[in-house]
Amino acid sequence: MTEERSPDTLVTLRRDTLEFRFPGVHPRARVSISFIRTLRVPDDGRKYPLPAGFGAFPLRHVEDFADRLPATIVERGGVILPMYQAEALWMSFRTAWPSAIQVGTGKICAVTGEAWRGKLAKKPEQNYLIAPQQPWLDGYAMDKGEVRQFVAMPLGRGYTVEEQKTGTAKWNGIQLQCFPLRRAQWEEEQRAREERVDFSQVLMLEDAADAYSVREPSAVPLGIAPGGTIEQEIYEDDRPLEHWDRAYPARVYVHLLNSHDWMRVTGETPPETPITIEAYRRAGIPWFDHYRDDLESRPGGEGFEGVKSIGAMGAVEDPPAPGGEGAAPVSGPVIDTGPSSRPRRVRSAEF
Amino acid sequence: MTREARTLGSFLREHREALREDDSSYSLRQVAERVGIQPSYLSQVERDVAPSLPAEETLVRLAHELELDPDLVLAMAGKVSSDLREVILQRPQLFAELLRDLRTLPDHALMRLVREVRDGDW
Repeated sequence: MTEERSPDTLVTLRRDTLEFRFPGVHPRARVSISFIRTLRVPDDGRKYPLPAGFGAFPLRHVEDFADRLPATIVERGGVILPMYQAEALWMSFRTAWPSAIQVGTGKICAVTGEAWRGKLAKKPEQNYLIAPQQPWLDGYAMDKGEVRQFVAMPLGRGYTVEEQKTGTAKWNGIQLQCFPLRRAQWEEEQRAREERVDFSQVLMLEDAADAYSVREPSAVPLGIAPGGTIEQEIYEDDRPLEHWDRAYPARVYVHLLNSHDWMRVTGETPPETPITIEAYRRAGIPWFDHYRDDLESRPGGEGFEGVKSIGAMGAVEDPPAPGGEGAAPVSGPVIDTGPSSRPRRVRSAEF
Repeated sequence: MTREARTLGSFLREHREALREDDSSYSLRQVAERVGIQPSYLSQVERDVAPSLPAEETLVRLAHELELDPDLVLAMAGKVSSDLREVILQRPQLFAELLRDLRTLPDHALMRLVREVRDGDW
């Protein structure tokens, strides 16, 4: 009889966080991913620093509500997440083990703008993020050093990246896939590590604040579309692809439910929507910056050519911000979370 | 599997000082400020001489600050997190029996019992 071994991959849900574990690689090989409620930055042609987080979106197992969800969602499995129309999110990646993470919306890669591929690739473009170097992702990597914020928009009107790229809203939702560094490679890097920076930073977020203005529940199906511009680097992977353990990736499908459907399906009230930019400014909530000058920043994804933001399509109208053209009119401090080897964990605020 | 006979205080201090080697913001004073307690109190906690241990909420904040698992820190403080307590209280006898039965199960077998996020066809 052969010795019983650990499963190769394991994805669990713990406190609204997806835990990707690779016990077949190493007990420490794990990545935690959560979806963070945040301010939707104005889509006004200006660049904004990283907005604060206001707690994690709730996540629930699809199979717990299989009798109340459409068959396509049940077939795809994964988890459900509630969003309001025009609400924004960012993704938090916490890991002590080097990991390659693929992110898609509507099965379009958020890094390249091309159709989702289940395999890691560097050619023609790198189609993944590297963690822990990349602690957060706020949007689509449409230009070097900046992203277009992930914003939930109604389907069927051509706002989402999937609709703009394919003309249909077939997949929707958010797709995630993680690959751990191979154990042998990790051990080799550990040996060489004395001379190098510590990669064991883990990013932590505080619990949600709870006093936001409530919007009317929305019953419109939602997908993710590109919103305002946020300064954020996507880092180049300087390891060869062979260093990643590509045999057993772990993946999850995250389905977006509008607030009305979330209440109907789960019986729970979704979190209230985050604050407006006016309230954000008035409260003096800080902004954040994370820049690693020791890493190469990737150019924008070529597949985003021709993709328009919701502001450019007239889907949202943001009030003109004070301060005129030029730098983003932020108030409150901008907290630099880099380039130290250990980015500050907290990118959250209470309101 | 071994159980380390470390105290909560020495465990917290060891982790904080390891973090401080890379980042001076992990000084006793700054960590206490971020967690919302007095530095003198954190010092007492780290030396295991505090008149009483911090509340659950504070211990969880401290765990997050020091990049530790909150359940581990709470367990070392002799506490069970309130959400776990709620789970156990719903079916106390069943859960007590279950935990005793699982006590000696190896990690790989325990891992087969955890609930996975089901992946589907896409």
